[in-house]
Amino acid sequence: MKKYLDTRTIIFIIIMAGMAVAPFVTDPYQLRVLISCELNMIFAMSLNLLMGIGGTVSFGHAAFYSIGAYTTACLWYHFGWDYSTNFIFVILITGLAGLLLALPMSRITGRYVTIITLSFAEIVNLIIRNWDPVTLGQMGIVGIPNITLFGYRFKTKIQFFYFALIFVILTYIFLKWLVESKLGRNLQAMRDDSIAAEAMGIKLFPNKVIVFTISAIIAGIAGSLYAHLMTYVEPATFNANLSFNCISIVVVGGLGNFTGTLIGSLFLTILPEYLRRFEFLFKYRMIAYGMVLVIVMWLNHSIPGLKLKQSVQKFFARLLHRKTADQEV
Amino acid sequence: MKKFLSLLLISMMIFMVAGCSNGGNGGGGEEKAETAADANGDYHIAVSLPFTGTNASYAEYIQMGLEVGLKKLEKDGWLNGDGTGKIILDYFDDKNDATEGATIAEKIVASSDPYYLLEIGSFASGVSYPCATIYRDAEVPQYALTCSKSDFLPTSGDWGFSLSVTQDTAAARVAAYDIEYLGKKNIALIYSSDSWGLETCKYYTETAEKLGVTLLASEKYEDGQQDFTSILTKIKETNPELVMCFCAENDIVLIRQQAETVGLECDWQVSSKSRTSNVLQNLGDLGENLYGVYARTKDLKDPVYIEYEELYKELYAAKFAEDNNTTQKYADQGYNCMLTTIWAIKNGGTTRQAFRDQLATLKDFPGVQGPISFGPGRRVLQTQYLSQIVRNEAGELKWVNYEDILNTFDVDAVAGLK
Amino acid sequence: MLLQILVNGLSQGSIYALTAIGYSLIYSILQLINMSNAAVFLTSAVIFYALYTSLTGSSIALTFILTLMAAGMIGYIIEIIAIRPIREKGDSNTYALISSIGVKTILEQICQGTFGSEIKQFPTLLDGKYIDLFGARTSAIQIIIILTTLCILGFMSWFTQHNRVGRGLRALSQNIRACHLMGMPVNTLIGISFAVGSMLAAVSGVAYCMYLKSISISVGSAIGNKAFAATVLGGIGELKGAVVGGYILAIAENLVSGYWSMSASNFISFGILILVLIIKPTGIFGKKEQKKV
Repeated sequence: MKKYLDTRTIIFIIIMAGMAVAPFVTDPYQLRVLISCELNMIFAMSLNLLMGIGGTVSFGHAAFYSIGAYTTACLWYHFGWDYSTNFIFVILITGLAGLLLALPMSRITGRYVTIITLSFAEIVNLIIRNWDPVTLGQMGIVGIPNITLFGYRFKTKIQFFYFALIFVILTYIFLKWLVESKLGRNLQAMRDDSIAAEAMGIKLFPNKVIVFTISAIIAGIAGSLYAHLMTYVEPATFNANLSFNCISIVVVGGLGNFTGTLIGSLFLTILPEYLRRFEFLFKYRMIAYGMVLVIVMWLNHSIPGLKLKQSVQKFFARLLHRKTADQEV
Repeated sequence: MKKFLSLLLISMMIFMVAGCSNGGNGGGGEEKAETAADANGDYHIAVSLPFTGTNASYAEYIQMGLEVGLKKLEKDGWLNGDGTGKIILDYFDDKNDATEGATIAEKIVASSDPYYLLEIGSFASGVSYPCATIYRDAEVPQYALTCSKSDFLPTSGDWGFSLSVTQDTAAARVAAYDIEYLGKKNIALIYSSDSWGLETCKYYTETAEKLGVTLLASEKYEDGQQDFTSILTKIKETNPELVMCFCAENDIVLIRQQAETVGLECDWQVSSKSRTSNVLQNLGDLGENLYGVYARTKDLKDPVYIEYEELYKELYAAKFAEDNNTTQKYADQGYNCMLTTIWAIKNGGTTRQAFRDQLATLKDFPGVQGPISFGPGRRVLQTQYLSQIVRNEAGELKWVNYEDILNTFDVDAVAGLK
Repeated sequence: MLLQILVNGLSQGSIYALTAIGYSLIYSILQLINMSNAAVFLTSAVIFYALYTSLTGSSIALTFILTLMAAGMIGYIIEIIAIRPIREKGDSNTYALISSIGVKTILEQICQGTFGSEIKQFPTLLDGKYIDLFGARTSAIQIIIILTTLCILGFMSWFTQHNRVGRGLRALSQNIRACHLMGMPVNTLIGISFAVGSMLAAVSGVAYCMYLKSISISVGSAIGNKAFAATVLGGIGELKGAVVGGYILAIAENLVSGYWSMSASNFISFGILILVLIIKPTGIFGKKEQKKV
């Protein structure tokens, strides 16, 4: 019997409930931090799909984020359309981008895929930077208004917050469903052992294309929301660091663990803001992101690290008088 | 176990989010009716500058200027003359990134403890400009002292201020000097790819066209780029008389050095952004005959300047000596900013609205580089002179302003600004 | 102008080549892309600058040797701390890759924090001397860089053919398990390979700063990406491929930026990379990787 209310789902519900009531007790600055957090959640979940389930390390996920952001920004700038129309284009264009990235991958494996994602991101950035008539190049697009949905313009950030929260919830549910579906199981098989998977009749290429497309679309949606949050987009924001920070979030939460991604996003968005007051004593905020990667990798994928993790777990378990797995009879 | 850990993490999150705020809760930062001063009668001012990132050196100098200004106020007995009425500066690092700047802006306007009277910063137009809407909507004065983007003042509603001549004016003047006064017709342009570089290039090219000159080459370089040899090789082929560089002070040093390597010989011109003492020092002999553009030379006998220099030496003796015993241009700007702010507060600007109303009336204020006035729309009225690095009798290289030129050459008229 | 472009391309290519060898070397042994190589490029330049300015009056040669030693140590330490634990457990290489990204970020941020963002003057060799050949100006430092790179290539060739340690590295690249069985000190050798890669990056970094006569923190990232592209172009895992890739990329870039524009040349690097990966993923000299079941 499948447990519908397992630990992860409970945590998810707690987090969502907490965020649902947050606007009533926070000031605009804190609210803004939480909105950034929501966008990071969506973005990181899309990367987790690609990395954790699909098994493809991507250095260039910021590319899709930027395409989503620029699509809605440019459409607003040139035509004044509202978000409901832009949304459709965001899906189409980022989906197309995901498709474009995946198409050449038919003969390429593992390591090289990663390299291509990096180059892809650089090229997308270069295009945005130089395609002045459409994207205004380096100058960026200023003054993007709050979201307008079917003629109704959101007036406060609080409305934006709930709008984004809906996307977080939908993305989570969708991705959880996807993992359990046939596509999800195919992807995990490919990730674990692509040769065996192929031998079992799973066609590698179409599955790869689909996962790239879906992942791109979700990242694009996050990006489009970002444009409306910041009211300003410029090419410089969407750099390699954005991709690497996202990787940090995914890694901290656990590859393949979407609930972990939510927690990771909370952690890596809020902690730096909290540490802002210490910034002049401790100028090294970015070092934290780097150390997170090294430490988490060491904890989970090295022998001494795992030993450490297990002994800590045993310690806490004893503290809480719970039995650990190997103590159970 | 997992449940426990996750709950622990989440409660930590909540604690941190709460800790993020500055004590204010739910719509903080409301307009205080009587005065922006806190319980002790002190005023808080937020300063957002790029202390890390490519413009960090500029931010450091601006901070020095602000601190010297504070020191002067302290010597004068603070705002009330009797040691009460302090001004307290809160520094934020926006890392020269518009996103960071926007987040900091939100934090500043939402903060009710401390309640900020105004915000000073940022340095780069590309950071100050996007934040303008945030400050405008929250009705907080934004003193972006170095912002030269032409749209900035109109976009900021009535709440933005700057001490810099706008890009359209500045670039047009440089073009006028180059083409009509120096008589150069074969000009190549190198500009940075940030919004400042793009705009100044545009205005320079426009003015050049108006004066009948088409640029031989217009080469853009990326932020952080250090290898200009391919750009310079290309320009060398076009045989220019003058190369105009809209770049930061670091970049002109590289450009000049690599031009030597590539064998490009011609005259060189920079905008006021790179007409600094750092450039003079770092270029050494290569800097001889470099043209620049600058506002009035510091009058070393002006009592305002003398007082400033003394306090500067008191606080920053080491830096002063390092910079060839002179104050640095951006520190001067910071000092001017602080002085004008103090003046505005003392003359009735005790609330945000009153402050901005008062500051907007600035006329002939005695600043370090001469009188400062805001024209219509709060545009800065400032003359700019052609400047050059010249060897004096002692054989030293120094920046010299050609202030007499304006007696016979009306640069604004030539540039089509009048 | 063409000749000038070629000259610039050759000296730039040398710089890419040196860093690219580092990437290839480690990949050939571990099938791991060592992202931290680019960071070592920057770090060694910073160390050189720090040593040179604090030990004033010291010779460039001495500072250079000290920097090389420091870079080698850094490379070795990176391997021990960030890569070896993960490698020993035997999990997929992806995790080591992510770990190396972490190291890269940490190193870059430390450099940024300690060095500041101003450009500083960097010492150079034979300053101001150049030859003018058929309208192309070649500066002395460019010639030095090209010659040094060729010497290093010669050395690497000898090293992997005739030196015990070098041959050990070559053996590792063929079959690590066999090396274990033959009683070779595999862990030490892998550490050495990281050290060698780092030292090459150090030479590259110092050479680049000498060429520009200045150093600033943005030095590392652009070169790192381009060098990486060069590695892939030449065939990741092949040392001579890395070198050839470096020169081809640099010359192509300079050609495009000379006849078209600087932005276009950036497109070229990544465009070439993608094209190569699509047409022949293993690069110019690469061999097809056998996937064992």
